[in-house]
Parts: sequence; C-alpha cells; structure tokens
Amino acid sequence: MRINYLALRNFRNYIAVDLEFPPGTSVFAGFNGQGKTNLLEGIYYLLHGRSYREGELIRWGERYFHLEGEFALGERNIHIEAYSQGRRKVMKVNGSPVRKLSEYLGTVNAVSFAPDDLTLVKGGPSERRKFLDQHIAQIQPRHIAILNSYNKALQQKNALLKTNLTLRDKQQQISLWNEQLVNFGCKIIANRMELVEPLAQCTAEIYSEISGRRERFGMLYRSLGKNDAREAIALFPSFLQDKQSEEIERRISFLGPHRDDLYFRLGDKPARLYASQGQQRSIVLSLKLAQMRLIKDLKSEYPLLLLDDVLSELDKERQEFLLSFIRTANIQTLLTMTNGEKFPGNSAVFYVEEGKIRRKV
Amino acid sequence: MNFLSYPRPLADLITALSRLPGIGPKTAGRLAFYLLQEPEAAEALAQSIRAAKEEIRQCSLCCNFTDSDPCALCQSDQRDHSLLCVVEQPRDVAALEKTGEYKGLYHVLHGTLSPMEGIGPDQLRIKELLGRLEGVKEVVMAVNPTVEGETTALYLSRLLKPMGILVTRIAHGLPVGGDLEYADEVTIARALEGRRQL
Repeated sequence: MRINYLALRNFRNYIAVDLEFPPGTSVFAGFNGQGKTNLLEGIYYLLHGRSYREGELIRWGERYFHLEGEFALGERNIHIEAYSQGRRKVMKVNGSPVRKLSEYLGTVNAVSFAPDDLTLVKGGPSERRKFLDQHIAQIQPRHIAILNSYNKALQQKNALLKTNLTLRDKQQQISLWNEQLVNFGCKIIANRMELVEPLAQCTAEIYSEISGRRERFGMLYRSLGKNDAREAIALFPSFLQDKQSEEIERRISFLGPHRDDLYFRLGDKPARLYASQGQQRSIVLSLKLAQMRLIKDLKSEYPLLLLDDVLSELDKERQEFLLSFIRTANIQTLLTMTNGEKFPGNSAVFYVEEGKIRRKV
Repeated sequence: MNFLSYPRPLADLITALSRLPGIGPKTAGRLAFYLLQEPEAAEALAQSIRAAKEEIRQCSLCCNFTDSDPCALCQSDQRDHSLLCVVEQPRDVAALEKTGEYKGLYHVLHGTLSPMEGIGPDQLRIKELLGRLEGVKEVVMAVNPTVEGETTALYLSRLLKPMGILVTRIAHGLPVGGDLEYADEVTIARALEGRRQL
C-alpha cells in the first residue's frame, strides 16, 4: 500500500491541506500541538474507516470534516473519501459509498507505531488480544463476526447471571448460552492458535536481530489458563459446567477466550514484569515489523508504516535497524519528529506549523 | 420554531408519533401537521387505531394477531395440524404465508430469549406452545439467524425432543436471484456449511 495524495478539510486542527507524498520516507517535523499526529490519523482513518484515537474529528467551530486520498495497491490506484454528514460518517471507494471498508481493503493497511503502543507489553491482556484478533481478521475475515457473536452471547449470559431468577431457572438457561459460547469460543481459540504461530516465529526472529542475537524473545498464546490451546478447546465445555455454580454465585462469567492472554517472554522471564523500557520498545517494534512482514507475505505488498514520535525514543542501534529495514524492504514510511532532531537520510522533509504544512526544498 | 413552543396538544401528538418504529422527530412533525390540515383523515385514522386495538387480540392457540378466536388459520381444515412453525413475530407469519408453500400451522413467540432486555421463557408464548402439542409430529424453527434466535431455538428443541417430536430448523443460505459475489462472508460460510448433495 502506498499513498500518493492526501487532502484534509476541517479535520482536527487543519482547515485545508493538500499534500503529495513521494515514495520512500517522509518526515513531518514540528513542535508539539502543531498537528503532526492528526495528519497520520487522517491517513489511518481513510484506510480503516475509523480512528485509533478518541476525541472530536471535526475542527472546532465547523460542521463537518472531509478527507480524501489516493492510494496505490499493486498496480491499482484507489481513491478513498471519508466525511461526516451530521452524526453519520460516510466512506467512498472510487466514488461509490461502501458500508464495510474492510471488505474492499482488508483490516490492516497501515501499521502505526506510537509511544502509547508500549501498553502492548506493559498493559493488560485486552490490548494484546485486540492486536492478535485484528491480525487474524486480516487473514480470516470471518473472525470478526465470530467474535461479535461470542460477545453477544457473553453479554446475554452476564445479564442472566445478574437477574434475580431462581437458581433452577438460571441453571437451565445458562446451559443454553454456554452452548453458544462453546460453539463460537472454540472457533476463536482455534483461529488464534493457528495464526499466533507464524506471528510468534517472525517476531522472535526480528527481535533476535534487533538485540544483536543477544536476547531471545518468545510469545505464547494461553487459552483458559492452558499452554496448549488444543487442550483448552477440548476442556472448554466441561470447564463451563464445573464453574457454573461459582459463576452464579459471583454473578459474572469469568471463563472463556475473552480472558485469554498472549504471554511475552524475554529469555525465561515474563516481559510484562521484567522488560526494561528499551526492551519494551524493541518488543513492540518487533511485533509491528513482524505484522508488516506477514501482511507482505499475504498480499505481496507491505502496508504503509506510520511512525508517530517513536524514532527518537529508540537508541542508535535500534534506530539504524529500523531505518535499514524500511530501506531494504522499500516501505513507504511517514514519520513525525520534533524540530531539531536529526532527520534520517534520503527522506523528504515537511514542516508542520499551526495546521499548515510546507515541504522543505 | 422550537418544538417545545408548539401548543401542548400538538407537541404531545408529535411526541406520540415519534415513538413509533421508523419515525424520527422530523417525520413525526410532518405527520402531525398533515393530520391537523386533514381533519377527515385524522378522524379515520383515530377510528381505525381504536378499532384495531379493540377488536384484534392474540389467538389463544397460535398467539398470532386475530379478530376471531381461534384465528382463521388455526380453525382451517385445509391446514396440516400435525406441523407447527415457530416464529418470533406476527409479521413473520405474513412473510411465510406469502410463499404459499407452507401448509402447517404457526406459533408466534413474540420475541426471543434475551436476558439483557429481561426476556426469559416466561415472557415468551412458550407455555401456550407446550399446551397445544397434542397430535403434533414436527415443529419447524423459523427464528432469525441471530445469537438470540438460535439460543431460543435450542431452548425449545431441548423441551420438545424428549416428547418424541421431530424438531427442524429452516436453512441458512443465499438469497435466490442474488449474486454470490455480493453476499457477505458470514452468509456464504453458513451456506457452505449447509450444502447438500445434488
């Protein structure tokens, strides 16, 4: 995926900006609060039909926003438009409205890496599950629908556990929702089990390169507290049965793939507890690059790489590794930096100031 | 002009209309002004709403809406009384009747199991179903293919199967005359799962 052209209207702090992007690396430099991240967000929005951040997209005091971009996938040019119409958001691909952008483009077209992403290592399991599920959806589009059905059944079961029905009524009805949870849940576990393997392998390889082959990274998908997901699938129905009275007592369903985790290890130690800041950054960087590589294998083209304020957070060795990865693979990369930093060689430089962007000549 | 500055009865009418499904505040306003300008239409509408409300009740057998109890379908000797089709809503009966293919009787549940909305088996017309199974050989589940619909079908099949009744489920699949290419992936996957030998 490459981007040729972007137009922003009333988006975040931009009034009107039109930009053309060269292939290769583009640097967007500026002080804080000038709109660097908003620019990357606009691109991400066009490619995914949603943002990765909270907050109002429409410029303060305006009534709508409008985004337009021209992208290239293989030999094809794709024109994407996104705008707000009252509270509704509209997406158009090559002039025709689309309901689900992912049906046309897949779920991951741009990989973004921002300082917040360190929560993938430090944060709770939900961040890691989200990352894994999004990656799976790219390869197995039905995964999202299965997750939605599972969550629906889970919500219904939790609502049931919170009612004041008699014990007998609850028992009778819980088994119904449990059957749905098993039905969808086992498919979720099976998908995760199958697709975590290549991701784990690729991430470990990249991590080993980044660390100069001095450190070993490992990733393990643990489902229902079991290291072997096959065992989890086999045991899920009887687990639900066994824990039923405890679930009724605690009024919450605490057992299922909605509680699964992806464990990161450095050597023999859990990364969440023992990884240093630098190691955490290396892990996230490896994960993102592995994701890029696997998407390349699938679609025979790399996604766009959006690096928001992360280059300066990496030490010199890791910076060089990342930049040489980008160069060798010939990935179109957009990165934001603060004024005064040293820009990577061979990149186009743009200055961002108060919602205006000009290219350095 | 602000909605709240309308005369009280007009504001009340707009509020009442906008509670109807599919009608937003703007359409409600248009309808209200139309009714005020066309007193005859308003009178006729008021009368038919009152008449429908007074004369239509639920059939004591199938729980569909009817003006005679039991309803015409349940009384008909043209229909197969050993075959029951379970649907969620009265409008689903109309949809199935349009096909002209189905010769059995119906049973309307008036909803699906949904603890989130406080709907359990007692809120559905399940007792009524269990009370009319004499002579019934097959029950067809024609509930919607949602998580709630499927769960309701599962619940009923657990009740009915031990009674020696054949429980079936209508097929999931592609719309006839539709293009495979335009169907969503979930529908296609379901259709593949339910494939049959030619």
